[in-house]
Amino acid sequence: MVDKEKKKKLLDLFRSKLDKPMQYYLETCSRCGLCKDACFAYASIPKLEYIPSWRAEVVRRIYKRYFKWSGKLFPYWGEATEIDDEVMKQLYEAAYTCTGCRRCMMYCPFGIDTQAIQSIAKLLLIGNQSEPEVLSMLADASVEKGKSLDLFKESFIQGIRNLEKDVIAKWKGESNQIIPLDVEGANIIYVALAGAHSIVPTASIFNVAKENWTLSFFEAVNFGAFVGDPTKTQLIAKRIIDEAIRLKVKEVVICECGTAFRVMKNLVGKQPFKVSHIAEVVARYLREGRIRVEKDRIKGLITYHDPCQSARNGGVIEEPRYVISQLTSHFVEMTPNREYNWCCGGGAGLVALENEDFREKTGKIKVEQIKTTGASIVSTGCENCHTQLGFLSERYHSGVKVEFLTNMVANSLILGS
Amino acid sequence: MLYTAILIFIIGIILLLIRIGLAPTPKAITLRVYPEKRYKLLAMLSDIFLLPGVTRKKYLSYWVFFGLFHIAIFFLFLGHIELIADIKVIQLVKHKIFLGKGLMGLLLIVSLFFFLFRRFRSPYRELSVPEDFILILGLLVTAFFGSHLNLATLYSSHGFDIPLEAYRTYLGSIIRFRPTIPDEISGSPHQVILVMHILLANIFFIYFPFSKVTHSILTFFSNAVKRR
Repeated sequence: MVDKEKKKKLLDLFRSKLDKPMQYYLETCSRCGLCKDACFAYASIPKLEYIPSWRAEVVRRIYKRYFKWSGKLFPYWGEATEIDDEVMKQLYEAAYTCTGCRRCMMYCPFGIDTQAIQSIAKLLLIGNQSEPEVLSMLADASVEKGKSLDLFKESFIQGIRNLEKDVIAKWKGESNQIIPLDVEGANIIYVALAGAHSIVPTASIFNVAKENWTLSFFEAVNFGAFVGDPTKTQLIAKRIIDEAIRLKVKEVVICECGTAFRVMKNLVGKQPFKVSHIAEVVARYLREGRIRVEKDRIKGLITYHDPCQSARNGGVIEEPRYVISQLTSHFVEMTPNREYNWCCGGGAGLVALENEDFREKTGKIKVEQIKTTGASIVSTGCENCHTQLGFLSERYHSGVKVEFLTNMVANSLILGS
Repeated sequence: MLYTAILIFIIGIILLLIRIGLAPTPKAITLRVYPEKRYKLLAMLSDIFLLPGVTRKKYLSYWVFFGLFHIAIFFLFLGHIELIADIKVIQLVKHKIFLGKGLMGLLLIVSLFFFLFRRFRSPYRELSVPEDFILILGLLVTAFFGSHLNLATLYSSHGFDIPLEAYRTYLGSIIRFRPTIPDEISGSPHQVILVMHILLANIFFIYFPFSKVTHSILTFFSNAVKRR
């Protein structure tokens, strides 16, 4: 129930988001609807609620009602709305059916960033305590890990040591530290996800490249960004920033997680180190001859899915293609691709929510796009995309195998000098 | 009323820009979309004036009418400037005022009808709010009156009874803050059309800073964020 006190709190939260770009976005929309076909959800299920300008309008109507004279004096003029339970439901529907892929931004005549506007919706939902609990809990756990690393450190180190035999199996090398931790002065700190799939292949690549690297104690994924909590987003990123500064590393390399990469590269301010996506580093190693791969060791026609956060929103577009060009002679592009690629529908933490029916139905456009390529393998560089594409492959019985780029590289490595 | 309208227009725009200018700058290094363009300004201007995202087959008619609408607005703006005084640069291509021999007003009207009828269709109808319809209708009526005045001057077989000099006297007196209405206007049986045209234009000016039409200014900022 949104009472008077809560309304005041929600409006304070709304106000806290009104920076310059946000005001451009909230003031500018003319509701032309040209964004509608840009949204993967609307393209798959043509429902008003999935049109980007509608999603934004749900937020904008609150803005008009409380922050604009025209909305205060003549609310019917622009259908300005009060904050109430019904509006909170609309905000949830708008925010948690949007992956924040920003494809609509490519088609909007004013370049309106729907993801930015949805960040208001998400913050209001947090203020109303109606955000998806699981995302908040995961964000809290990440923040807590940052506060009390010593509690987790030993078990983390033990887990990493258990993984080392897998790295040796791939790399077949010998070193005192297969997966180095806490290396001061390392060139690279690699920030992985919680899972062997994110660590083992990359560790093999780093070791073959004879890189002076270290693994971060923290996972890259930023649930604070998914749930739309700016404070938690900062705190989660800060753990990694502090670690990188403490170890005096030159470069922070983010694993195959689009949101984690964009947050660290573009959204949390300027840092005293370089931020790279792992695909950029692998491409660099290949260009410099620090690693070599056997072409066509991987059989089958391969296509590449540009993750929205690392490609359109992070600029990692050509490097993955270069890497794939070294791995196979059988590559086919999706259409559209690069900055115009369709979102898979798994971003912004949607894969972590109980929404399988929604994700299956709205993934239709992606499934058709992949099917048209005729590829048997879809490679990608994002955990959310990998999960969603795998889910779609299973639900639509398309028989397409989904592969991480780093895994494909690790499996194709030529070992020995 | 004209002075009040212009004052509200200017103050409203200034206050809007001050409000946005005083808003905090985000912590983000960039909010752009990629790939990063080498010539950011050109990319931004292309986004604003050419709508590259709209040149899809499905939206070709929108793209055409969008272009016609804004071209017509631009030429009509020049025409109104010429109603105040002779501008040599504009007269480099010799023409009767307005440029386009009445075509620009008609293009504006046709484009506005396109935008109006488009909003009658789903899902644009559901996306629209009353402001969207009222703005289009207001502009349509203003354009109807203005176009009538222009077309009558250019093509009426008996000539139109408000000469160019009368407009210049009237608008010049306004600029000098000594408004006088020449006899050719006050005595004309068509003065009601002119009064209605000016009245609606005044209302538009007053409403402008509070409306979505501010997109004509803010689009430069929002598209800059997209490319910067």
